[in-house]
Amino acid sequence: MKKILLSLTVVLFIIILSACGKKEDDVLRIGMDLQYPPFETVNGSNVPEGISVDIAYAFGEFVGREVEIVNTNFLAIIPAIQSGEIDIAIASMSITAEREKSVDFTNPYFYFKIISLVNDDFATTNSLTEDSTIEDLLAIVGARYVGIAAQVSVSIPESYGKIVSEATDLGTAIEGVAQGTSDILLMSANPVVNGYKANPDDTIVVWDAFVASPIGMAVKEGNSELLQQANDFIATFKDDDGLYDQLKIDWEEVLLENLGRYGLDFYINE
Amino acid sequence: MKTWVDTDLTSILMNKTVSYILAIFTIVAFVTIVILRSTSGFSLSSFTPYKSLIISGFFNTIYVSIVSLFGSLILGFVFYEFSISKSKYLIAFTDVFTEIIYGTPLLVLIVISAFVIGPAFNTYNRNLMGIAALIIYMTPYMKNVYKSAFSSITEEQYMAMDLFGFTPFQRYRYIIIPQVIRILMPPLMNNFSLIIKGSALLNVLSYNELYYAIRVAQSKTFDFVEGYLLMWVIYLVITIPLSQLTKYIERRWAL
Repeated sequence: MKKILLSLTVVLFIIILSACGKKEDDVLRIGMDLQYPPFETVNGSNVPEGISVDIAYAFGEFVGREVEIVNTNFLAIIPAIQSGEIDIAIASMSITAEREKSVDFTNPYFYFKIISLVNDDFATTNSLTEDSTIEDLLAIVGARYVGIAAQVSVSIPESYGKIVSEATDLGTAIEGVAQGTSDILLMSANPVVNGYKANPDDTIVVWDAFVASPIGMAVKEGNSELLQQANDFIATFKDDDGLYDQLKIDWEEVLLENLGRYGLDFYINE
Repeated sequence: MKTWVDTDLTSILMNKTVSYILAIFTIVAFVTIVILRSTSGFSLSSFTPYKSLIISGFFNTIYVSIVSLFGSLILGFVFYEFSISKSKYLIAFTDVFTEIIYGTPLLVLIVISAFVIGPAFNTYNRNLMGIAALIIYMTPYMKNVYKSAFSSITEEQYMAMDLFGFTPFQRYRYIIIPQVIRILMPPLMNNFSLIIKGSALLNVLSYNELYYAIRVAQSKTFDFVEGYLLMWVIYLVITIPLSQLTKYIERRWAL
């Protein structure tokens, strides 16, 4: 009895160790975090869908390789690139100097305007409205900023000398602002607007953008071949019937409905 | 003989069923108060498009838990054998291993297995490493279950079995297992319950278990109150019948 169980364990171990990710060289593994609609999300049957997903498949077509979307937690994307688990990340990732140290970025293909979700009571106390400027926001002494760890959500207020508390995920950060444990959250437009819609009585959106954060695709440092292909691909976006036009056909309405004000151009223009 | 009319109010309140109903009602009342204070319109409608995602999350949670249960049952038995073996090294190894696992939070173990140990051995199958972490985490607990269960069979019983010339099969079938099961079952089911609850942590690997499924469903509308409550209820739907089943088995297989 003992021998059977012992040999079973050995077999189990061997199975585990031999289940190595045998990656076929032909498949292009593209990483993104499927929790940020409408760019990266899944439909009800857990199939990836979104603007970045469309871009990913279009890239596959461009280079003539089959695409596998690897759902990776945002914090784990850069480590996944470095370890070779994914070949490229099309994850609405902002190009920052910090990240440039670990990965190589393509030219920007979108510009995410970083806007603010502000707690309603805080806004009333400080006479803030939807059309307030970022100077108005930055001038307030003692405002409590919250951001999502390892994202520009944190680094941008910090660059202005603010102290930012870090949340590990978007939901927590939004709840913080809605409940008043934080005052201001900087994020790209869609999450901010979604956060506002979920808490219309407790939050307001301040549309003046802090920066237009350039969004790029990330590859492993030194992978110049894939980087070149990606840049060539991005160069085609502006063509007539290029990817921007195609994406507008599919997503313009969704974006307009989501943001209430803007469509894809909000992201294309700096 | 007391009829219903004869029993007074005190004995109605002392009635077991009524007490249970009142107890459940207290909890439900508390939850209702929380809901009313948190949100103006309680509605699960934002989750309906994700119904199949949540259902597959539900089944994945059960699947992962069962796999981890069997894995840790086997590995736990192996370490139990190590701990009573004659090899000082194996005893020491079990001890050291147990200490380390006891001291490691499950979340940390999952993340290290999937993002550090896995890639070190060229394994990028994060889900597999996550399940492995869950198995390894539960192994010391299972080992202890075996230890307390098997130690209940006294020397005299073994001598008696030798005396009567029981075959190994007869020993297990008629003497050891009936006694051991009664002792094994409650902690074993407890461990299974721990596994089910711990499986929620696999969400950091983007594995579509229940917690992850509901989080994704929440990512558009941020309906937290409904989402977390739904999650909570579904976990209870899995764990409460399990614990009731445990009690039933305990009673049935009692000595």
